[in-house]
Amino acid sequence: MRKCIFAGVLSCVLCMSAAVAAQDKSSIKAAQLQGPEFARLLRLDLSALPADKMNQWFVLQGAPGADANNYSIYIVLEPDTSATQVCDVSRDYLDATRPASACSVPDPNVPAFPARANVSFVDAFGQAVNLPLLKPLHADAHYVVTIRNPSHDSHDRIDIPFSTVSSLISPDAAKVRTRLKVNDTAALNATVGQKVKVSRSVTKVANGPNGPKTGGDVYSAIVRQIDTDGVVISVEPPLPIGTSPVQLEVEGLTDYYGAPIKFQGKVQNPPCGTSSGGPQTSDTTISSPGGSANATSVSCAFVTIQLSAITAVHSLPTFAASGAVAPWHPATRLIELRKTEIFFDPVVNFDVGSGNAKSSNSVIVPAQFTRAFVLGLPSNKKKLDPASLMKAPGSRLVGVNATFGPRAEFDTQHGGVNVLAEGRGELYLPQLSKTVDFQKAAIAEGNPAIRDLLELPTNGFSIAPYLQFDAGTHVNSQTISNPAGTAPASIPTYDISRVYFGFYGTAQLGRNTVSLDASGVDLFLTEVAPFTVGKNVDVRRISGVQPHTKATYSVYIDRLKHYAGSICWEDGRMAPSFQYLNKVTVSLKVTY
Amino acid sequence: MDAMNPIEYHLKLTIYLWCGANPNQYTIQSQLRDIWNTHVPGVNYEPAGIARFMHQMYGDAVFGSCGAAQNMTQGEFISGGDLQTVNSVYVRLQACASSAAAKIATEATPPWG
Repeated sequence: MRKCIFAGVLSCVLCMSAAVAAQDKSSIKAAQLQGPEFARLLRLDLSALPADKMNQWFVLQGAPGADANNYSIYIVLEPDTSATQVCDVSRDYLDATRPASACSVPDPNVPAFPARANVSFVDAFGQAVNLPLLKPLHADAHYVVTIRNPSHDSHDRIDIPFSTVSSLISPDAAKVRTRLKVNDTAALNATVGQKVKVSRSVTKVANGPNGPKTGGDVYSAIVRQIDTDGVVISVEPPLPIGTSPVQLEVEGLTDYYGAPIKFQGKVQNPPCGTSSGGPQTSDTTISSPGGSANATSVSCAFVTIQLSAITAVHSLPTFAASGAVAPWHPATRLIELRKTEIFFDPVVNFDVGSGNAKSSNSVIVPAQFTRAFVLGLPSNKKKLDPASLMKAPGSRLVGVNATFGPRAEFDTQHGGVNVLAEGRGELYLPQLSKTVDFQKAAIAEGNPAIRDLLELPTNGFSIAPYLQFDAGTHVNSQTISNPAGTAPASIPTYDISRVYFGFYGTAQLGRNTVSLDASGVDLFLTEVAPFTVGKNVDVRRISGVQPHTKATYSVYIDRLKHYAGSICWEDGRMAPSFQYLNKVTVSLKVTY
Repeated sequence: MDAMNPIEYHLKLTIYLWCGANPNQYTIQSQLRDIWNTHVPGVNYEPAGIARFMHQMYGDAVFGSCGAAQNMTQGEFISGGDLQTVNSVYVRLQACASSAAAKIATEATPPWG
């Protein structure tokens, strides 16, 4: 293709020998944004340019990079041979009034290119130059964009190479199996609804004499939308993407001159929490403070289980399991209710054990709806202008996590069921929230370049007071039979009204985590719960304030914090059994 | 060097109203989750911060009527997604330059003028 286009110019090339210096080749990257609006713009990314050079060439008054007249475009002919030559094609691409050079770029079938986007020439914030072109660059050619400093000799210049570089990614972590995105440094001539071909390469291991066989699957796909940073493709049926990378290839897209571009890449499900440097400790805790409401955070973790087993001479073995299951917990699965910022996030908390285990023998489904509020946000009533915006005071705000919705409590030992309405709020003050995540973010916010290089803090703490209200009823009247000669235990239906108040604190020191949940529940109405004494079942009537404290120390065994040894001390009464517990549990905690 | 362009201004304003971060406190390469986690305690970026960002963006005079902003999905902001930094959002929002220019023109010429 390249030879076809430029065959007529080889003999009259303006030779620059090796004059195109290697200066700053790696500092400035040239690419075209996607979409018809940007087909005639070349974006030069200056973000990697040293600050002094950026000021000298683009920022200071009269900087050469701020004047389009100082730019030239050269095409590189025979780039892969020793006969490499460059030819000035600025007249074809930049400015029709430039003097004619010895070569030109004939485009016999030049399509009508759309208007240019209305963007700044030098984009200070985006750290880029948007160089207007007369027509798009060819995807199958090599170019050099040169910026000259007219006040100095001709050797004082910046040369920026441009060649087509394509990529294939999975843009949406929630739709990793049905969405792909392709990008190219050259502008792609794509239209929404255009059909493309997606194929998957796979090597199948065969036991026969011929050994492994390489095969593939083909998927039908269409262009779904065109973003400035790539073309989004919708794939049907869903790709078999899991935790292992899948090798894919996309064909059917071209540049504006019809040159086909092939995209290849590996895509896979992103590991949860990678951009924060692994799963966040606060996130992986989905046990519920107070043993009652939903977790404060929505996270990667959707299962936590703590298992314990005790056996001794002359006694039956004791098994206990407690934890939580949150099927929609990974953020990729969350369901937002009609852009209300209310998320449906059901959790099931369980604490069960064998007959002689000191567990509360309950399964609790707390409120399923979560909504975060941020207090102290600035308002735009005064219509901040750019100057005022830059001077506006930064602030740390107050976070409130609210959960609300129906709640159900099941007594797994005796069969009682409570159905309640629940509302809960947790308050996060900036002074009491110095978590590891906050400290990492505070450093990384203003220093993104060193974000992944620093040994960031691994110590932090957070203390959050909370308030919770439950109201409802014990829905089933129970008659629990006892051995002969003893009256059965009878539990009627009754109304329930409770208010919880307390705080949840957590401190992290490297792999060690200490958490404390201290609360009191005020039972406004008397509740009736069965309990076992020997082989008999009796009932207890509970009202008034009931304290409960739970302290847990965990040390993570593995780097990804999936497994932890845990020691937990619990003291007090908890719904629905209200059995008084004062126990220490040593367990293995598994989080996924 | 050009003055603050409309897309830059509206994005900085969106971030400021989103989490109270002054533009001097972050850079174009900063991650949105870092900006959020620095300024908003206790509320997770995923998904609450993301939902708030999109809500704030849709309420903006320019981005609210811009297809490029409306096409963004929550999954693109989640870890592993395409939109992690201020720059990635800014580049995507470049497609709103035309609607920003139209908005400015409308404001400059009131309907009764």
